[in-house]
Amino acid sequence: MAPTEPPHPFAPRFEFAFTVAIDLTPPIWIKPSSMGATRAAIWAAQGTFEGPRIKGRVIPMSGGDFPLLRPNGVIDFDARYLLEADDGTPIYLQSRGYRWAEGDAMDRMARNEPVEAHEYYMRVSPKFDVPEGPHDWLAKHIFVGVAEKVPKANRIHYFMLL
Amino acid sequence: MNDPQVPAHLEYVFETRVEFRPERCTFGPLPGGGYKGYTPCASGTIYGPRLSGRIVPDSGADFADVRGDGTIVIRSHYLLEADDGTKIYINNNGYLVPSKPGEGKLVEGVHQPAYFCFTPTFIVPEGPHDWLSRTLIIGTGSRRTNPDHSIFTYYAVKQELD
Repeated sequence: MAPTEPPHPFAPRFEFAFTVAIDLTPPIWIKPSSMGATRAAIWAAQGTFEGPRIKGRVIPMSGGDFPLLRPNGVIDFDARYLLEADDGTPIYLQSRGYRWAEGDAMDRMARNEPVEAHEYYMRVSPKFDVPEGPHDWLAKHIFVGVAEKVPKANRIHYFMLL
Repeated sequence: MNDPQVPAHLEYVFETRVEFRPERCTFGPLPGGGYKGYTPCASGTIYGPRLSGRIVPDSGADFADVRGDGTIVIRSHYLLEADDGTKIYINNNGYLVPSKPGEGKLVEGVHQPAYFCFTPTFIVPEGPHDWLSRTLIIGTGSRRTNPDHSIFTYYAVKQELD
């Protein structure tokens, strides 16, 4: 949308929720998979998360990402792992989204070389399963994650759709 | 990040107007609690800057889960048809939190839910509409009556942060 256009009258707003910083294991590749693309398996080795309303850790090796790599280079994420809030509450995170880039940035990411944030598109949408209680807002809002690809790790900044 | 009300890095892409069949219902209680919802999509239109066309009549429904806490977990799937004839499968997942009876913001005489947001995924052939299958998109819903229908507004999560 051009900057001069007024925003859509019902345009939703976001509120920053938390950032998850996660260290990843090396991937295992399954190719070609029966889905006609390359499937990868990458585990969440360890991590932490922190935001204004919640913080805690990623439960080590509780899961990971099992993305499909499409023939056109688009990565279709399918991540599942567990968080643990500081009060001990376990939280199941399931996330989907996309990563792709123009030019050679995709190859540099595959080789675990640094890339600038503007060189690639990496956006996810998680959903959470959580016991009723102080963290159940996670299970009734839509979130968007803006992800930073750093070598052998991810930092994903989650925003709650108000 | 210090301002919790971050601007939404969103681009309005299209809107749909979906009419529902009178067979809509909820049934239960189900084992483990909660109810199942069934809201069949009768027909509709698609309009906006990035997509226009129609809802393929009677091509699907929302098979929502009504949780014990009253939150409706949206799980809809049906078919879109772009003006060029391309068929597009849409699957919306999200949350509708009902407002208390007689409360909720009034829009065109209808009390709106307290929360009605979702995130769709698409299955679409390669070609002019395949951006739908590599772009994270969020949607907001608005209820209407006479006839029974909803307006769904879709926004792409942009790559560039303004």
